[in-house]
Order: sequence, then structure tokens, then C-alpha cells
Amino acid sequence: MTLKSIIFLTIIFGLMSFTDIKEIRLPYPPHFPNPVFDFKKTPLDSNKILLGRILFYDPILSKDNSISCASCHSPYNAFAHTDHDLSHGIFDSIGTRNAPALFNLAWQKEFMWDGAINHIDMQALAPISHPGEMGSSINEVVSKLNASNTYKDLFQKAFGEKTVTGAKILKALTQFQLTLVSANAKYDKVKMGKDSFTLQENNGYLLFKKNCNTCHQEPLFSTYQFANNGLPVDTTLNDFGRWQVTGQTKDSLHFKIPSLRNLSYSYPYMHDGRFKTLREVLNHYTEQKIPLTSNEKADIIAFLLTLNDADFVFDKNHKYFKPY
Amino acid sequence: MKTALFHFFVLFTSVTLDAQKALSISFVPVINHEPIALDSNYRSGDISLSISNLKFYISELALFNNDTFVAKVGKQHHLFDLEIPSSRHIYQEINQMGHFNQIRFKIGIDSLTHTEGVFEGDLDPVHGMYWTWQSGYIHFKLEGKSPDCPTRQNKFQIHVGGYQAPNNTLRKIIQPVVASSSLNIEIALDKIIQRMFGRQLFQIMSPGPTAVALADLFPQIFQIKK
Repeated sequence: MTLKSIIFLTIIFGLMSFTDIKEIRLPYPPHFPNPVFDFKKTPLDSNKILLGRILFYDPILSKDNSISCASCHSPYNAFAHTDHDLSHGIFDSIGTRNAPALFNLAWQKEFMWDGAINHIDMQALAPISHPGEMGSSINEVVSKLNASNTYKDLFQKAFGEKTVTGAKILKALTQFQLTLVSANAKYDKVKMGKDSFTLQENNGYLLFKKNCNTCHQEPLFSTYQFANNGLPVDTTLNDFGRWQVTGQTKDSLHFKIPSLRNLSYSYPYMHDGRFKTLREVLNHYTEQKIPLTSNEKADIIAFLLTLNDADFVFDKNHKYFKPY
Repeated sequence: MKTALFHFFVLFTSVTLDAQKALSISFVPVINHEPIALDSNYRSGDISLSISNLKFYISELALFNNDTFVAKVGKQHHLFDLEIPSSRHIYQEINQMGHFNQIRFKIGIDSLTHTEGVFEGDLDPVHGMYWTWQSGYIHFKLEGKSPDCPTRQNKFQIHVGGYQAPNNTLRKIIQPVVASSSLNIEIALDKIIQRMFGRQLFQIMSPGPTAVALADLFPQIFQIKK
């Protein structure tokens, strides 16, 4: 065989194997670190992503079929919930925390404001079971989905088996949520050399790096660690955050550091949604320990607005998908 | 030549028969030496009670000869559920039936498995053995009723879990055995019941020192039946 024909055959076989690969690589720009999620062990698969996407928007996950994941994690709010300081659930119940925005989850190790959940697969169990959120159970969801021919077909496509299991539901939800990558804000375009900051934004960036970057580390704009940012406890909630998980007093009032991406879409701010505007947030910090002039505050806000990622928020691949 | 062939044949069949021999290990929960069923009344000392739910994970069940590994038995993680009779037995085809004198297993799920996301089968969260509000498998679950229980509807709920130090409740159990194709492991629940009533702790549903103290009883209550 000649070298030419070997190359030709290699290309043909290469193409053949590509045609039935459903595997997808998570797209992210070169200035991002490597994800912490193990994609080698659990690769992305387009059919699983689609199933997860359909489940994410389906209120069938709640006891009375009224609340879906998207009820509190709306795509237009960077998968957070505006207008509500605290999340709300079935029977008009009100939760104790502000629904966090969902993006760049592949770079996160622990979930929830207090890090009570150690793997993205297990996260959905909490809202599904919580009486003040979806008020159901994974068993109940399994039975409901097993009674649906549409879902049986979707599970067949995604997993090669019609039978719905708890593990498959959770895996599919994981797959969809992993694809929620926010990496195309003006900040990212500047990093990739496709855009440039204004003078004010650049000044804000310098101030940001000096004063905020320790906790809200770029390019994800969070270390995803836990910290006490000096907020006094809300005595109507008495939420002490991570201390409730670890039992260690040093973790009292520690909450997960949220990313600053998509700020304009995901108000109100803080774990209990106590601040409605960015200015209130900034004032909290300047009163605490970061003295800034009002010009400097304006510059920082100008920079923070470059973290809004409209391409992510309006990405049609993340929207509700009608399965039939 | 014929006899040699015959001997070879006999030897061969005996080896294959041996290889096909199945080992069964059964887990038998008892109160006051009596094997229990769901929702029946039992007495443990002067405490009368009934059990409505008993589930626990048996992990890494294996046979050893002195301290040398011989063979794995069953799946990596096995869920015992008093409600499902078939879950009481674990089967394995074993080659060297005669060559073990020790059985080893763990009650609970190891910390690595705890952090690797969701799994199918016995580890699927549908079995009610995974906490939803905080990550972690429930290693051992005992629920029931007793007229001596000063709680709502006289119920007790013992959920032992926790995979992180210092609240790890995974416990290793090593029992000497006389090799046999059928082994019974008794779970004497009395120690747990006595502890529960002695300390008046009828609701344990999170990791912590109380769960750790209960887990420390596991090596004493799982005993091979002689």
C-alpha cells in the first residue's frame, strides 16, 4: 500500500467514526482554566444534553406540576431569578435563599450557597425534594416520567434504554447544565483581542484587580470558595451558611463567592437577595474595608458591566425546547 | 493410556464442578436472637418495638485467607433492604472454595464514591439512601416504633451517614469463618436499640458525633453465625 492510500484510508475511517459520534466538546476560550468536571469520565452527549434541557423546563419535576427548574433559573436572568429576593416554590411557598445564577458550572466543585452538595449530579435532588421548592421526590419523578411515552423515547435516545431511573434523570440534568458556559462578554472579547476597554472600563479593571480580584478572581470572577463578606445575619432567616454544613464555627456566615458575570441580568444580589442594585453592593464594600471615591465606584461599575454576556443570556440553544 | 485419559477426565470434571460452586452469604438481622420481619413486635431487654424499615450498604465484600485476598463476593456496593427478601443474599461463583478463613466487608460507602456523582443500581438515590439537602449516602437506616419512644407517633428514625473526617461512619468488618458454601451473618440490632433508648436519641438524621458513635457499634453487631 502506498503512503497516499494509507493517508486516504485514515481520513475515510476518521470521517466514518465522526459521523456517529454524539460526543461534544465543551466550548470555552483559551483564557479560561481547565474545567474541574471530569469530561473524560463523563463526556458530553448531544442526546443527553437535549433530554436534560427538556427536563430543566418541565414542571413535571414538582409535586403539583407547577414549578420547573427554569421557574427560579430563567435563561433571561443568566439562569437566576430577578424580582424575588428569595426563591419561591410550590403552593406559593418562599424559600430562604436567593436562587443563584447558573453558568460555568463545569468549573465548580461544590454547589449551593453553603457548598452542601459535592457534585453537580446530586444538586437537583435538593430542589426536587425540598418542601418549599418542588416538594416532590426523585422516586415520584421517576414514576411520572416512566408513564410518559415521550420521555421513554427521549431516554431511549439518550441512554439506549427506555426505563427511566433516578441516576439517568440526574445525569441528563447535569449534561444540560454543563453546557451553560458564559464566556463571551465584552471582557472575554477584550481578552481574545477582539475588542478593547474604554478608558473608564480600563480604569475600573485596574481598580477591580487591586480590590476585588482576590475573591472574584478572573476570568471566572469567583474562586468559588466560601467567605464572610461582612453582611450582618438577617434575623428573620438566621442563615449562617457554610457553618450549617461543616459544623465549624469558623465557617459561620460564610457563603459561596458568586461570579460577577452577568450582573445586570441576575439581580437582586447576595445569598438572601438583600441588595437590588449594584450601587448598594458596592456601598456595602466601601463602608466595610475598601475605600473608593465616587468616581472610582463609577469606574468599577463600568468595568463590571463588561462582564454581562448577552450572547449567553440569549443563546437559543439554552432556551425551552418543545419535545413534541 | 485409557486410564490416564479417564483420570484426566475425572480430574477435569471435578475442577469444573468446583469452579461452578456458588457461595452464598446471607445477612440476617435479629433482635434478641430472633430473625426479624417488618412491622412485627419484638422485645429487646425490656424494650418492646417494631421495625418498619431497615436498609444498609454492604461494600467490598471479600474472602481472605489469613490476610491474603482470595476473591470478591458480589457487587462493589450492595443494598440490603429488609423489605426485599432477595437483597438479603449475596452470591458468587468461587474457584477455591476451601481456601478462605476470613470474610471482610464495609458498612457504608467509601468517600471516593461519595464524590463521583450519581450511579445506577443500588446507589441510585431512588432508594432513599441519599440525603437530598446535603451530599452523602445514608450508610445504615433503621426506623420503627416503640410504645416507650417519647416522640411523635412513637417513631424512631436512625440514619447513620457521613463520609468526611471527623464524622466518617464507614466501618470495616472482619470476621473469621469456617469455609462453607453458605455463610450467615447475623446483625444483632439489640446494641443499637439499647444505645438509642439509653441515650434517648430517637432521631438521628445528619452526620456528626452521635452518628459516629452508632457506627462504632457496627463491628460488634455484624457477626458470623457459627
